[in-house]
Amino acid sequence: MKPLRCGLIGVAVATCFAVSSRQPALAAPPEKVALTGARVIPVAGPEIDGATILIERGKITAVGADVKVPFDAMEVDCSGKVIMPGLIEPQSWRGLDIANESLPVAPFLDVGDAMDPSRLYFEDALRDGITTIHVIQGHNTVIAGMSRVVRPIGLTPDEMTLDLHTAIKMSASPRNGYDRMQQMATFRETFRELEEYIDTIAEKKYEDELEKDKKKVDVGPSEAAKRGRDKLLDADYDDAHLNLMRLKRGDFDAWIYVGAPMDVAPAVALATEQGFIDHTILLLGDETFKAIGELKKAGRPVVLPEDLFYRERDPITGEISETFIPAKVHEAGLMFALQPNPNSSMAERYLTYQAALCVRNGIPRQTALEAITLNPATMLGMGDRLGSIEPGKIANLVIYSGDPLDFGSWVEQVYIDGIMAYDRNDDPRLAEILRLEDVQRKAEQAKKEAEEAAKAKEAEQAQPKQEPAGEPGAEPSPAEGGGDSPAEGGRERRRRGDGQ
Amino acid sequence: MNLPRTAGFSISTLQYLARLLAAAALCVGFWNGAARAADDVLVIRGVSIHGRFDGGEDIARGTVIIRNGRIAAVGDMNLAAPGDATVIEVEGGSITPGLIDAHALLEPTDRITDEARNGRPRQPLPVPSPDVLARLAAAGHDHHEEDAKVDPLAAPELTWVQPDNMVDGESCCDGSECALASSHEAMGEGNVCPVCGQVIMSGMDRLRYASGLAPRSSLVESSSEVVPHTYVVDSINFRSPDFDRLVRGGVTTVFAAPDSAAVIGPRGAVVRTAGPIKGRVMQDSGDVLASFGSDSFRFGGGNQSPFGTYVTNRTRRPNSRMGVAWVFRKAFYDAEKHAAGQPVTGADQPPVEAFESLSAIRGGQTPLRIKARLQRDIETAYRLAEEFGLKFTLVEATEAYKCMPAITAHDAPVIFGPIYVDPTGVRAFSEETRESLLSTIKMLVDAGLQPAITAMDLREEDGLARQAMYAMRAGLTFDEALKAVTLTPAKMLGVADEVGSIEVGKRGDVVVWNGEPFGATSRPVAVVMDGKVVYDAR
Repeated sequence: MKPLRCGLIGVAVATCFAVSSRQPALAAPPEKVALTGARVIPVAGPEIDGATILIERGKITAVGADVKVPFDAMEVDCSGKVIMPGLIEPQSWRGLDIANESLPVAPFLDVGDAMDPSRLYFEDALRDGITTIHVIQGHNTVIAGMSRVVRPIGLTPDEMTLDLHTAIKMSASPRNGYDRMQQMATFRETFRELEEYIDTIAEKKYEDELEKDKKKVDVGPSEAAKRGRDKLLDADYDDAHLNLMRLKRGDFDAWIYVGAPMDVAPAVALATEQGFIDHTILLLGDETFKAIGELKKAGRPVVLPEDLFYRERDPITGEISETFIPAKVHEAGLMFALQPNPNSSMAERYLTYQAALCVRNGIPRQTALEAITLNPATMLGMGDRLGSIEPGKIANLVIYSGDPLDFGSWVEQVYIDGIMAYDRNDDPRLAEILRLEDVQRKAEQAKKEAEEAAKAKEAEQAQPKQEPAGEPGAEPSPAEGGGDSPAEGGRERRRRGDGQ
Repeated sequence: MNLPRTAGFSISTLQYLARLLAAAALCVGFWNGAARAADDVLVIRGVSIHGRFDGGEDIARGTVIIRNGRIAAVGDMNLAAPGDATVIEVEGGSITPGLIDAHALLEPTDRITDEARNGRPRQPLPVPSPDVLARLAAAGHDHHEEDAKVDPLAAPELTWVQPDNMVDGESCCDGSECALASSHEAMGEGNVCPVCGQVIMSGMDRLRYASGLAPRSSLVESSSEVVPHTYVVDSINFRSPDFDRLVRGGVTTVFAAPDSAAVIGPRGAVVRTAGPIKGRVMQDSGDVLASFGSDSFRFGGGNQSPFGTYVTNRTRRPNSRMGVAWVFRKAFYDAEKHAAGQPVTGADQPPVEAFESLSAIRGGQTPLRIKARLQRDIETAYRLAEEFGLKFTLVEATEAYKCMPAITAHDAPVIFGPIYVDPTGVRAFSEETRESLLSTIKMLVDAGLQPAITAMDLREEDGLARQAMYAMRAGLTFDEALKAVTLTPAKMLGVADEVGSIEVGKRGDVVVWNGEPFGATSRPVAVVMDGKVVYDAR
C-alpha cells in the first residue's frame, strides 16, 4: 500500500511539474499572441489605456501602451474592451463529487481523487472569468486532505491541475457529530501522535543506520530518536503522517476554517504551538469577523464568507443590524480574498460583483480588485505566477466588454495559459441559458440586412468592376480570421485532452 | 412743566409714529418671515440628473430645486438658489426620481427573521384531526392520543419535521425513539407527532409557517377564496422596518400588494415608504389581486374546512389549477346572478359583500391584476379574462418568455419581476419559480410592452435598484430600466401626475446616488421625499 501510494504521489507531482512548466500534455499554444487596444487593469499597477499585452508561449512577456507587436505575433484587436487578470476562486469544493470526508483526520487524501471535471461548475466558472480555482475539501472535517489549484479546463483532474499539494485543510469548528472539545482534543491527539510516531521511526532509523555501519552505540531511546530525526527522509514516513510532517516543515499552508468568533483563538493557538502559524490562512464563517481583534493580532490572510453582509436581529430590541464584513477586515489591515456567493439569486454569484460591493461600501477599488486576483494568488503561494498582468506571469486573462466592476459588462473571452479557452460568441449554453437566440437572431438579421443593403449599394456604385464585389463573401476577412484562430486553439485543446 | 408736556407730546407723537412704523415694519417682517417659514427649499447640486421624462434631456451636472415639497426648478449649475436653502451637494453623484415598486410584498423578511428566530408562529397551529387520531389508534398508538392534542404552542420547544426529508438535520424524535418516524408522511401535514409533539410539515409549509406568509400573513384575507371587498391598507404596519429597507434602497412609493393566497384577493394600496403616517396612503383602494397557479392551494390553508377542523391540501378547495379557474369563474357568474336577483347556489360561494366589487371589476371601475408565473397560468389568465371581458395587469410572469406571442397579442400591461437566476428565500420553496430567465425583461421591452419591474419581497442586494441593474445586464438601456422602476409603474398605479419623474410640479421625491444610478459600485446616499431628506448616508 505504502509504496504504491508514494508512487502515485510521485507521478502526480511529476505530472504537475510537467503541466505547469512546459505543458506538453496540452496543445501547444500559439507562439506569440498580442492583445492590442484594450484598457488593461494589471492590478499590479495603474490602469493603462490602449495597451498591448504580449503573450509568448503562455506567459506574459510585455505590457504597456508602447509595446511593439512583433511581426510574427498573432494580433487580436481588443479595442473597446477591458482586460484584467484571470479571477481566482480562493476555495471551492463544488468541483468534488462528494464534498466532505467521513474520516475526521485524513491528511493523506488528495482532492484530485474526487474531482469531477465534467461538473457544470467548472464551465460556469470559466464563463464568469475565473481561471484558477483552489479545490479544497469542505468544512466538515478536523484535518482533511490536500488541495489542488486547478484551471477550469481539461478532461482529467491531472490535466486541470496547476499546482498539486497546495494546502492542507483543517477546521477549528466542530465537524458534524463533534463538539468543540472533541474537535480540539482530536487536533492535540493527532499532533501528539505525530511526534510519537516520528520518535519511533527516528529511533529505528538511527539504530538501523548504526547497525549498517557496524558502529553500534547504545545511546538510549530518547537520544536515538533525537539523533535519528536528522537522518529521516520523506520516504520513511507513512501516508498518515507525511503530510502533517511536511506541514510543520513549511512545505505547504494550512487553510483553517474558523466558523465562529470563538474558533479563532484556538485555531491560532494550535497553529502557533505546532509552528505553522506563518503558513496559515484563515477561512472565516459568517460571524467570525466579530473576533476581529484576534484576527488582527494573528495578522494572517483571511478568506471572507460568501455573504459579505452579516445581518443580525437584536434579541431584545428586535432591531436589525448590518455589518459589511470586508470593511471590518480592511480596517484591521488584513489581506483578504473574496469568493462568489452561490446562494445568491444572481449578482453575488460573480466575483466581480463581490468586488463591486466592496467599492460601494468604501473600500478602495485597487484593494477590491486585489481581493479577487492578487490576494488569493499570494495566499496560494503563487503570487509570482498568477494574479496580475505583469511580464513573467502566466497569461490568464479575462476580456470584458466594459469595466469588470460594472454589472452590465460581460466576459467576452478568457485566456488561460495564453490560449483562448472561452469565447462568449461561441457559447451555445449561454445562449441557451439566456434564450438569446431570438434576441440575437433579430439583431443579426438586422445587421445582415443592413450589410446586404450596403453591399448592394456598393455593387451598384462599382458596377463596372464586378470582381471585388464577390470577394468578401468568398473569404473571411482578416479580422475574422484573427479572431477565430485562438478559439480554434481552445477547442483543439479540449479535443486533444479527449484523446488521452 | 411745559417741557415735559411738550416733550411728552412730541415724544408721544413720535412714539406713535415710531410705533406705526415699527408695526408696519413688523408686519412686513412678519409676512416675510411667514413666507420664509413656509418656503421650505431644498437644493440638490452638482449631480447628473436622470429621469426627466417630460421631454427634458438628462443633465450632466445640474441643480434641482424642491420648494415646499414639490419640484420647483430643474436646470444646470447656473440655476439660482435661495441663499438660505438646505443644499445637498454630491460631486460625481447623480439623481433619479424616487423608485416605485409596482407590486411590493411588504414585510416577508421580518416575518421570517422574527418568527423563525423565535421559533414559533404567532398563530396557533392546527391539532390533528379526529380521523388521523383514529388511524393512529388503529396502529396501536392510542395511548398517545391525549398527548397529541396538546397545543403545540404550549410545548417548550416547537420544532418541525419534514416528512419527505427526514435527514435534513431535523429528524423527529432523534430517529430511534420515534416509532412513527416512517409514518409521519402518512399522517399528513399539519399534524402533531403523538410521540414527540412536533409538527409535521414539508419544507415549504415550514417556511410558510415560519414566515407567517398566507394564511398567517396580515396581507391576505383567507376566510374565503374571493375577498375583493377587503383592503390591504387596513393591515399595513407603517412602522415596519421593511419600509426603512425600501427607503434605503431608494424606493419611495410602493403598491402594497396582498399575498397571493386567495384566488380573488384583497385590494392593494399605493403607499409612501416614509414621511408622516397621516400622508402615507396615496390611494387606499387599489387593484384587486387575483392569483392563478398553485399559490392559493400551496400557501392557502386558512379557508374553511368542510370537516370543521384544521385544513390540509385534501380538505381545502380549490386544490388544483382547475379548481382555481373554477372559483374564479364561479365568482363572476355568482356576481351576475346576484345582480339579476337570482339566488346564488353551490359550494364555495363568495361572500355577498364581494359581489359589488366583482361587478365593479367586470365593469372596469375596479382595476384587476392577475399574478401568474407559469406559462399555462399566464395563458389561463388571458383565457378567463377574455371570457369575462376583463381588463387586467399581468404580474410576476416568470415564464413570459415561453408565451411571448400570447402576451404581445393582448395589450395587458405587465409588471414583471423579480429577475433572478436561481430562486432564493420564499421563492426557493415554490416549484413555480424554477425557470426564470435573465433576458425575459429584454424580450418584453423589445416587444414594445413597456413593463414595470418589481422586486416583490426582495430587498437589499436583490431590491428594486438591483433589479434595474439586472435588467441592464439583460440588455435594457439605462433609460428603459429607469422608466420601468419609475414612470411606468407610476402610470400603472395612476399616480403619474404626482410621482415617477423629475418634472416641475411633481412631488419632490428624489434619490441621490454616489455614482451612476443602478451601478454595481454605487448606492443611494440620500433619499428625499416631498422635499424632506428621509435617508441620509452621505
